[in-house]
Amino acid sequence: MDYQEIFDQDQSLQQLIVAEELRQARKPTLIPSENHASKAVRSALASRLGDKYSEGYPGARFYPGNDIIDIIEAIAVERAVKLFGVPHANVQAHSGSPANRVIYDTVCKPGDTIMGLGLPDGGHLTHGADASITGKHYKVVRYGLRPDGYLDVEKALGLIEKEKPVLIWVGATAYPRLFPFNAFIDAAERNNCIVAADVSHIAGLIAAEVHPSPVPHAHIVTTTTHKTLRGPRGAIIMTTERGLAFRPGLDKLIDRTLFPGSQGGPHDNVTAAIAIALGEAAHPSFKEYATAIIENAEALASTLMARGLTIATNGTDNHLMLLYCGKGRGIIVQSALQQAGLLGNKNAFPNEQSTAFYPSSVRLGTPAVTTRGMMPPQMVQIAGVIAEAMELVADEVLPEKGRPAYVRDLQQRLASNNKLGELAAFIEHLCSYFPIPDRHF
Amino acid sequence: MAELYPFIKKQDAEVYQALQGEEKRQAEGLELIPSENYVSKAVREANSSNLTNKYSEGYPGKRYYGGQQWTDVVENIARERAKELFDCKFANVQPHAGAPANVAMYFALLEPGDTILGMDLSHGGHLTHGHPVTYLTKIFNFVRYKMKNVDTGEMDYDEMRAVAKREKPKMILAGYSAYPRELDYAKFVDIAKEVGAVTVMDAAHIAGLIAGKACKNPFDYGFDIITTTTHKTLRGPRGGMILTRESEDTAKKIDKSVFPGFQGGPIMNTIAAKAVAFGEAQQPGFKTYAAQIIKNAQAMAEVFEANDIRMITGGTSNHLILADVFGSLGISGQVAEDVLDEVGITLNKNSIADDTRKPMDPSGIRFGTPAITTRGFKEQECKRVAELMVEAMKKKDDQKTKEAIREEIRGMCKRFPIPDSFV
Repeated sequence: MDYQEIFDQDQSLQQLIVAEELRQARKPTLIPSENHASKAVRSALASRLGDKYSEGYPGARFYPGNDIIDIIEAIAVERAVKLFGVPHANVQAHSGSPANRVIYDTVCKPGDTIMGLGLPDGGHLTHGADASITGKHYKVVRYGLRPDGYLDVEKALGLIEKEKPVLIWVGATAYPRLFPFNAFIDAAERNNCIVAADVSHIAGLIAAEVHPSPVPHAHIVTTTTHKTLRGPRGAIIMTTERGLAFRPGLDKLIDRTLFPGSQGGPHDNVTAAIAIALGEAAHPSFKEYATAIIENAEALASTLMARGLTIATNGTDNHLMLLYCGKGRGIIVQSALQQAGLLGNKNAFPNEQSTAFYPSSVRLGTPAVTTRGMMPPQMVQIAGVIAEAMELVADEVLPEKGRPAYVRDLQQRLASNNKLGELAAFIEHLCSYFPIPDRHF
Repeated sequence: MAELYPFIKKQDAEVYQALQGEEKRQAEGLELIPSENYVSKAVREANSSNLTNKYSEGYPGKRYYGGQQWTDVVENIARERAKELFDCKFANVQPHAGAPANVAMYFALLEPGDTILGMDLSHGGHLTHGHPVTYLTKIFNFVRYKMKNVDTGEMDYDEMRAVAKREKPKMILAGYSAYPRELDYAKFVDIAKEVGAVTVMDAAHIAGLIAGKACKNPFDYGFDIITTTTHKTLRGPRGGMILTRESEDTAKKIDKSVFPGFQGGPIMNTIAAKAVAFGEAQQPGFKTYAAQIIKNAQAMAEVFEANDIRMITGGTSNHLILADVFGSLGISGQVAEDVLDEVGITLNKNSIADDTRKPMDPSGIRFGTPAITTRGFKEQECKRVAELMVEAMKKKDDQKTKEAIREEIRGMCKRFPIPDSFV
């Protein structure tokens, strides 16, 4: 039995974990930031390394007993350095938001001007959104999208010259096209501004060289390790050659800001899992995986468009797409998809006309279904289910008032909709041919 | 015995070898670092679950993404168990670790520039209580209280009141990472009331002792908030947690600060592991464990006392001991750490109160009993370990003695293997 030890002492929790595994098995996730880590990665998370305190860095720890931990962290760092072609990597940040926080604390003072892609335009909370602490401590200048949904690079460059930020974030969480990482560095350096690329979403694509790398065009690169990179929940902060030339000592400053500046002991079990995931990403099969993610996204987007649906920028170059659902109707379609056995998440559409909590689109991505081994023919089938589910809720309109009550009622009605139930049965059947693998090569 | 990590072995020999090495190191040596412990296999299984694959930004019932029917239940179980263990109304189990929990808590309740009254770092406070190397000191104004008498551990509550009245802190912070005694929580609350400050206990080190009813619960004396790690004495996965006794308004501010203020998606596999660990802490056996940690520490203190080795505060009322080895034996903390490492005992050098030596080679060592108590050590074994420690430090250049001690330690480890299950 899986999780035998939990079963022996805490049956209800063991059942919940198994239920969640079954849910993942039966309902494929199209949430572009989710993926399925290998059993090797997960077994490192379960290792006794979680019991160790290792404040400091390899060779310079505050506690003894770290000779083996040092080897493991050094392997993780070395693999990151090699995979991304950078001179320095730090693998200790607990996750993506804390990693970005370290960048602020390294290069900014509270009140400084920083620049980031706006949240509704595809930026991340930590790139200066109001709800994030980063939006409170700094003066935030936002760049955004053109009416056609592509990045407005020209305007961004004008803002750099005018506002002279000390830090600019490049990178996105909901941008379906190649991110023009090379566009910002000259203007930024002219204005003494640090360029930090947050590649969390596309790190796996960059590692596999199917998306241009920001490394030559940024001073710092941050990423989570659990999205397309397919590792444990965690993060890597990298300093580039360009960063070291622009700010000598930047790498050491980042290390010091992370520890002792903002974190305590690193999670060594996670470090081991990161090392394993980076080993997987260096394997030749990872390149095939990353290529397939994009082929699948293209197939999904083109089939949806062939069914008459609207996709932002008319397609995708990467792992994700934004499907237009009608003004404020993202939650309606998300709910319908969920009953049809598919998970996507409501998201702002370019030039969003509705609100942040009730946006007009659903974000769909292919990293997880590609890990299951699905290919373009399956994307065509999934696109068909999405289109049919949308038709079943075509008459639903988000009311101006009483929205939470409406959504609760909608979800109850959809839960007993037989046609959506049939779609869910079809998806579950499809998934049975593509189980979540324990090994990735 | 089932093979460890078969999947890693198949694909990654380099990491596999290191993981095996670490298993062996933990098995064959005695862990006396007071912040370390051994978690159960059940906790580690939860950490390795597929919940790692899920994005769950938000809180149960209010998530940004779908597919949360089971993650919601798991997080609710963790919260309910935490509330029951610490007797409070609200729990946030999402902080990635102790330092992030403290940071999110500060920003939830304070404005930049506000004053925090915390324990002097050289008297036992933690890095996140305002050490100059942390960025927090650029944002908040930290002021200090300390011990009145380092030989008894008695805090200087009169001085604390005077500083509070002068500096008008918005927050009074109790808690420590190197203080071996109980605090008088009621006095903290009195002083905080006089100046209108919120009271916060960073219970990371003693959370397990509080949950196991072996130490006083600050909530019983009116404290507003407890922050803690979930590893250490609480014997769960590496993670953090923020507990609020009573105020819904405060709890809401804390939730908002943790997400979306500082963190993104919670680490759901770790939250499941927290739930498992809290379940273990609810078992009657956990009370016995917590009480035994203290009995064991006191047994070790007796040996140090009999050998005339000065202990800061004169002994211990919790899981840890801080010994002035430089003052008593003429060897620095670093030398003691190295010698004891040679004989298979892991502990750490530590500054003692008002240390005249530098932090990288201070006068003291800090050690504790949470991990060896998990192995099943009782007073008798702990006394023997303390005797061996004293002997190793006194005869630090005698290779033969050290080898004999190493052998005896190895034998003890064999007799008391690290258990997989505690219930």
